[in-house]
Amino acid sequence: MLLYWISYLVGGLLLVRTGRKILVILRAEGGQTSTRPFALRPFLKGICEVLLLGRLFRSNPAIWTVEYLFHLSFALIMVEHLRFFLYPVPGFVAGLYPFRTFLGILMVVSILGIILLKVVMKRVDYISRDNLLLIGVLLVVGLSGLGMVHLLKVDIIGVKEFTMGLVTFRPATAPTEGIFLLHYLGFLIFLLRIPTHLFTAPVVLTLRRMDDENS
Amino acid sequence: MMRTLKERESFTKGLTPRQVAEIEACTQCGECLRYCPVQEVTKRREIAPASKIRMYRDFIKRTESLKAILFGDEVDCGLLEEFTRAVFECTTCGACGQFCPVGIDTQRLWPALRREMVRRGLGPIGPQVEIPDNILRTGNPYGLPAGDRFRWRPELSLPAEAEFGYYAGCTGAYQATPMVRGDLLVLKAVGLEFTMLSEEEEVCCGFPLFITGQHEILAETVRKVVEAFSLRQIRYLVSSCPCCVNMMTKDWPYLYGGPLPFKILHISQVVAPRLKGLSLRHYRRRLIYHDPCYLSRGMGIIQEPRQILRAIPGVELVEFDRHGRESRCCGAGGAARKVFHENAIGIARLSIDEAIQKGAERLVLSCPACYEKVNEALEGYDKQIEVVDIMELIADLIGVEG
Ligand code: HEM
Ligand code: SF4
Ligand code: SF4
Repeated sequence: MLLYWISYLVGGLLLVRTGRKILVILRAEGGQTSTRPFALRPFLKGICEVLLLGRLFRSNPAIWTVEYLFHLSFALIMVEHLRFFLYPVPGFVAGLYPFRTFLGILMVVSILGIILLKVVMKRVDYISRDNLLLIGVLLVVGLSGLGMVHLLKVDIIGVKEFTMGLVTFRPATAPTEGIFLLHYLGFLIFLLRIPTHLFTAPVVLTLRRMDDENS
Repeated sequence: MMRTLKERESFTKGLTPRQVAEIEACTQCGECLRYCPVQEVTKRREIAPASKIRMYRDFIKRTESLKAILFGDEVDCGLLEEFTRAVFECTTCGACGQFCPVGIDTQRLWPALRREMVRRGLGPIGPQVEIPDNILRTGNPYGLPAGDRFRWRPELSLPAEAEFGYYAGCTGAYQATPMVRGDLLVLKAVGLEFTMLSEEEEVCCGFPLFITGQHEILAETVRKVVEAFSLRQIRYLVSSCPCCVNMMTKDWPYLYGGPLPFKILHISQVVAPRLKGLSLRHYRRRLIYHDPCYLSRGMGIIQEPRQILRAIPGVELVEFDRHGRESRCCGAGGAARKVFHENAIGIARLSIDEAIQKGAERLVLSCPACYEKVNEALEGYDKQIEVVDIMELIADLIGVEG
């Protein structure tokens, strides 16, 4: 039961915080805007830039490689994990299931790659505490996830009952396996520290691309 | 004891929604570090773009986060002072934003954050404080007599009204006179009919006010120039100063309160398509062209100046490693060149060194602030190269017809 309450608390906090951030952004009223007519082509180019992280590639191809693999594997794992929260499981989610070990390893390796490159490039002094914490947490979450698939099997039926209980607001019993708790609590910490750039950067990138296309 | 700021004035309200999102969007990846010229010469970490954004986020968090609202929090005054110095020491060159993987438009963000500091009475710094008063008294940020504004002007008969208007700009008119003189000679040579305002009518474009975050008299200053030019019935306003052109294009419309009654053009956009009318003397030299930040990154005007230089017979054009939109600041930007003199000289010498190392015989500039600063950086320096403005050079090379 406790795990349910903690989950709802974290979820609620996330919602309120996100709402607050959106409000602060929308409330800004600085007059300096050079409004340009909206055009579809620059907008589509902006979307491509977001999907390919094109600016990062131009700036630093080595970092791009590891960051791209990390963000891609992370996103696909999130989609694959929808299997815990949906019933019946849609085809595109089930389709990713066979690749889950591959994706997990890819994510862990790319996180290690990020750390390595930052050290090699002497960039560590500049990494913020938040980013360091996130990298650490995701590493633990990734490793414990792989551990559940291959070393310490968990009762997947129990997990699914728990997660379905969460989303339907009908609390069932929560799994008690240590490795699952580690994995899940890591995820909750991730939610508490979720980097806002996940939501704002795509918007900023698209706007910038539209500017560049127009000038 | 840590001093703190009690007052809870919003740190975000004065920005645009996009700028607040930009501050949120910084991933602290540090890509920008490699390109910041101030960081390069000072090695001071708090100058780094990522550090400035991190400090500013702290201000937002302590005034506008849920926690701050429910339980109260205070902004650290020491950090505010540190931030103010850092944001005013920046040249606002925008290189950080050019290389930023997230595409943060820092060339526009830093001036907005400076304004926030001015609002709190923390900025501007040093002689920048005198800019508004100087403009009110004399029409230029330097406080020099308005009557001296056009003393460099060659004898020309200009019509009172014309399709094109020419705006010299304060820095050109008072501190880089060979440059604006060259502008007029070239415009005449390509056969352009243009008009100018009188010494008293041509006042500051507002850029120094904008860039130092002092907005009180900004709109009224802009209005003066726009109205004076619209009385002359112009359809195009031409200037050679990158900062003026940037300001006119991006900020004049909202400051004026609507679309301008004329279009803004950079002088290279006027001269490049009319080059055929010129006959230029042979000039066997290796030139290197420096892209001004506000022209290349700011306006995307990159090809026109090169087209003009390539039209000179005999010229070989070489490039800086970082050119076009990726150009390195000459050091003079952001109204910081008078306050952080050493930085500016240090940065300018980086470009001088590279130009010489590339075997260039002349360093071609296209901005009055660069012109002034790079010339100053050459004084007492053991490496020397001839510096020339692009229009000054073309004016020199205009031969006898035929
Ligand atoms: C930050 C978010 C998360 C990340 C990065 C993450 C990552 C991973 C990875 C890499 C694996 C191994 C490969 C795979 O099955 O995909 C895994 C497995 C697993 N994850 Fe997550 N996960 C996250 C959140 C969650 C959440 C919210 C739950 C549900 C409560 C969950 C439950 C599981 C379970 C039960 C497994 C084992 C699957 C099996 O044995 O088939 N994870 N996770
Ligand atoms: S605008 Fe230029 S000087 Fe300022 S932080 Fe960015 S790179 Fe550095
Ligand atoms: S490059 Fe952009 S996202 Fe990265 S630290 Fe600098 S400002 Fe932030």
